Amino acid sequence: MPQYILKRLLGTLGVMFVIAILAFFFVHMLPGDPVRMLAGEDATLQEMEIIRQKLGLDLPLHQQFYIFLVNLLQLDFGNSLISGDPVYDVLADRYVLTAKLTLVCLWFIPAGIVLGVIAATHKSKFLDRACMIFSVSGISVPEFWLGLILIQIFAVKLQWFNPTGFQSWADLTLPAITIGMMGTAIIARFTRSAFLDVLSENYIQTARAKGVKRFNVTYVHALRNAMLPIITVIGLQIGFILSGSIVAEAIFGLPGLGSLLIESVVARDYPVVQTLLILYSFHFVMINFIVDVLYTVINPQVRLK
Amino acid sequence: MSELLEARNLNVRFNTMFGVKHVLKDINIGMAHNEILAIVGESGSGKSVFSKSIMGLLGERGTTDGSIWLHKGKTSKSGESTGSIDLAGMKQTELEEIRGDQISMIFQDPMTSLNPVMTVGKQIAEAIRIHQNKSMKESLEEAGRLLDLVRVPSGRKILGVYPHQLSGGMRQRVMIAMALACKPKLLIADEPTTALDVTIQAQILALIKELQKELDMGVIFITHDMGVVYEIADRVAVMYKGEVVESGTLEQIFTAPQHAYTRALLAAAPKLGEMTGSDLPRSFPVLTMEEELAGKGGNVAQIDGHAVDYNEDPLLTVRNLQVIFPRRHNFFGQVTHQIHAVSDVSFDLHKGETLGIVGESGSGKSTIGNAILGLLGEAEGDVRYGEIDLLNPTPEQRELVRKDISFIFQDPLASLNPRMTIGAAVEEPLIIHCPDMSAADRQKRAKELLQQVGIAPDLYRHYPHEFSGGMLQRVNIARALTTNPKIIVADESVSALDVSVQATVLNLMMELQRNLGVSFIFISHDMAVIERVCHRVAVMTKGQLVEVGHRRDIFENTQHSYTRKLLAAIPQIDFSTRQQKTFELINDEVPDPVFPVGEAPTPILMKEISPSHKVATE
Repeated sequence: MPQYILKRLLGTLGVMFVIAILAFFFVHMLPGDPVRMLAGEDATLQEMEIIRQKLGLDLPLHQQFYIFLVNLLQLDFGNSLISGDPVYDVLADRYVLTAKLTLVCLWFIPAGIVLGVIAATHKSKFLDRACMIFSVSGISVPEFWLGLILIQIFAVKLQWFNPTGFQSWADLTLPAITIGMMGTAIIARFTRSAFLDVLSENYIQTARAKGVKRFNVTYVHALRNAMLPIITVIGLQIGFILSGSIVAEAIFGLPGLGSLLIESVVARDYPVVQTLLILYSFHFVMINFIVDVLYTVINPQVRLK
Repeated sequence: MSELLEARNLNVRFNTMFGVKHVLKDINIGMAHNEILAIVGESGSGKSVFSKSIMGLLGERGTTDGSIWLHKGKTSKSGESTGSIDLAGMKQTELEEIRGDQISMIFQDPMTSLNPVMTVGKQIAEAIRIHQNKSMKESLEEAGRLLDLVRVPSGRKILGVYPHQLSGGMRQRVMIAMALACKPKLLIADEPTTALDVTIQAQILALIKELQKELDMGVIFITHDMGVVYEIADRVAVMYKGEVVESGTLEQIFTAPQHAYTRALLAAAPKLGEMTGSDLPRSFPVLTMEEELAGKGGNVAQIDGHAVDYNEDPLLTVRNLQVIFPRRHNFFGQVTHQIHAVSDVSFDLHKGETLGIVGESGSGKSTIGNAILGLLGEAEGDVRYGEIDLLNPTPEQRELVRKDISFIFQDPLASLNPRMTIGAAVEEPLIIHCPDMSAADRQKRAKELLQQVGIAPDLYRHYPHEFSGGMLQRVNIARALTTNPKIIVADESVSALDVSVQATVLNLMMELQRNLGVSFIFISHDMAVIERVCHRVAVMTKGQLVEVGHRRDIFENTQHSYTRKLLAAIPQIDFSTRQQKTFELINDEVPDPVFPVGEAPTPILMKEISPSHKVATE
C-alpha cells in the first residue's frame, strides 16, 4: 500500500507542476503586453522598462518560470493590480470564509447517504419515492430561489438568523442549507443506485443466509462496498463547494472566493485570477488524492495489490 | 423418512411486472436427518426457488402457501427445544434466528459469495457471534477450528486474509466453514461445485459427504449434473417446471426412471467411457425436451460423426505457439513477472475434424483459440492456415481468414448485440465479406441459415432477449456459418447450456460437420463432452500441452498423470461397480504459470507412443 500511495502522490505532484506551467503562461497568453497592462495606458517607455525589470519580465522565459515557481512555493502570488496589496492578503480572508462555509456544508454527506440508503432499502415503496422526489427537487431548485425563500421564512418572518453578513457560525446556517441541498440530492441518487447494485450481490445473500439481521446487512455488509463509487462523487462535490458559490455569496452577503473570482475577472485583476486558477486546481487534485487513499482503506483489493 | 424436513403442498408465486408467476407447484417432499437429498433439474425448474423458500430468502415479491416443517429442531439459545416449526409461516425476524443456526446454505459462485471488504475470519466469526453470544476472540478461535475442519491447510493463518487472495476452491471451503459454524441440522448446497474445476469439484464433493457423516446433518444438494448426483446423493428428486416429477432412491432414479423427463435427462448427459471402442464421435439419442415429453423420443438413433481423412495435409498447423502476458510491474512500470499463458504448443487440425482442447481454468486453452482467431498481439510462433501466417497476415489475407475461420463463444446471450435482431446478427458477416450481395439475397441466406440450425425463419426479426439459451446458441452457430467457414473455434460453447439443450446443440454441430465438412476446435473443460464429440484431443495444463492423440488414445490408453487425474475426478455413473470412490482430501491446486522476466517454464519433451499419440515425458 505505501508504494501505491507514493505513486499517487508523485502523480499528484506531476499534475500540480503542469498546472503551474499553464498558470504561468496564462499571463503570457493574454492579448497585449502584460507590462502595458500593469503600467496603464499612459505609461512612458521608460516607466514600462522599469516595471519590466522590476517584475523580471526581461529575463529569459525559463528563469521567469523558475522565479514564479519559487515564489509560488513561498505563497508569494504577486500583487493585486487593483488594490496593490499582495494577492495573499486579498485572498486570505475570503478563503477562510469559504473554507468555513464548506465545513458547515459537509452536512450534505451524511444526509445524502442516509436518504439514499433509505430509498434503496425501501425500493419502489413510499419512502423511496419520497426520498427521490426530494432529491429531484434538490437538483432542480435554483440556489437563488431557495436562498431567498429561506431568508424570507427564517430570517424575516421567524427572525432566527441574520439575513445577510457573517458575524458568527450561526450566520452560515442558511447558506449551508442552500449550497448543501444540491450535494445532498446528488449523493442521495448516487447512494441509492450504488446500494441497489450491492444489495443484489451474492455476498448479501450469503450474509442473510447466515442469519445476519436486516439492519446489519445494510450497514455492515452493504454500506462499505457501496461507499466506493460514492466517495468519488463526494470528493467532486466538496471541490465545487470549495470553489465558492457565486449565487449564495451574493444572496447572503458573504465575501467568499466565488464573488472574488467574479470581481477579479471583471476588473481584469490577472494576478488574482491566476492564483485562483492554481488554488482551484490544487483543491481538486488534493481531493482526488485523498479519495484514492480512501479507496485503498476501504477496498483491500486495491490495498493489497 | 420425513423426520427432518417436510414440505407439504408448497406453492410459491412471484409477482412480476407481467402478472403472477407460479414457480413452485404443490411440492411434497421429505427428508431424513442423516441423508443427502439431491434435487436435480435444469434452469427454470424451480430448484433454487425451493431452497430459498426453505431459507425464507424469496424476497418481497415471492408469496408462499403450504408448509415447510422442520422437525426436531435443535435446542435454541434460550434452552427450550423448538420442536416442529413451520418455516413457511415464520416472520423474517424469527427466520433470522433459524438461518445460519439450524439451517444454513452454500451457494454456487464462491468468487462472488463472500464479502470482498471483510476478512475471511470475520465473516465466519460473524455467523458464530450472531447465534451463540460469543465474544469476537472466541468466535475467531472457533473460526480457525472450522477452517481446519474443512481441510484448509494452516487454516488459522488465513483468518486475516481477504477473499480475493484465495482460489475458488479455497473460497468454497470458507463458505462451507461459515455454513457449518453453528453445526446446523440441515445444510442446503445450491450448485456448490458448478463454478469449480473438476478436480476441485471432486474434493469439495468428498468434503461435503464426509462432513455430512461427521456432523450427522441432512443435506439438500441442488444440481443440474447427473454425474454429481450419482456421486453424492442417497435420494433424488427430479424437478421440471416447478414440479417434482419423480423422486426415489439413487438407484431407482438411475436404473429405472419412470418419468419421460428423467429418462431424457439421463440420455442427454454424456457419460465418460460410453464411447470406448468407437473411432468416431457419435450423436446423442435425444430430441429437444419438448419433443421428448410429447412422446416423440424414445428410440432416437445415434449417428456416427464425420470420418476424417488423415492422409490429406492438415488444414491448420500450429507450431511452437507461445503467448506471454505481462503480470506484475515494478515501481517504474517495468514488467517484472510474466504469465506464460501458452508455451511451446504444437498441433494440427485436419479437414472435417473436431479437435478437443481440454484443461482446467487457467490452462491456456482459450488463449490458444484467441491466438488462432488473430485476437492476440502477444502470440508468437508459427500458426499456418494453408499459405497464410495467421499471426502476421497481410490485410487481404486477414480478410480471407476472417471469412474462413469463425467462432462460437461461451455465453450465448452476451455474444449477440442486444439491439440487433437475430437476422441482422446472422447477416452482418455477409455485409462485410460479400459487399456486392443485395439486401434481399442476404436476407434469404440468413433465413436459410436459421432454418439449417433449427430456428423458424419467421423469427428473423426478433431480438436476442426473446430466446432461450439453447436457441441463442443456435443463432450463434448460424452466424458462425454465414461465410461458409472451414474452421470454427468453439470456446466452451455448450458449457452454459442445460444438459438436454447441450445434447441437441452438440448434435447440431456434428450434423453440420457431416454435411459441410467444417472443422471444429472444441475448447472445453468437460472430459465427457470432449469424449463424445471429438476426433482428436489435446490435454493442457499450465499453458503446456501434455498429451495429444486420437480420442481412443487419450481415453483408452491414457499416458500422462495429469490426464489420468482429470479423468479420475469426473463423476462416473456405473452401478455395476458401485464402490465408494475415495478422494484424497488434498488441496493441490494448479498455480498460474507466472515467472519472473527471464525465466520460463521447463520445456516439455514430447515422446511418441504411436504415430498419432504423443505424451509429455514426466
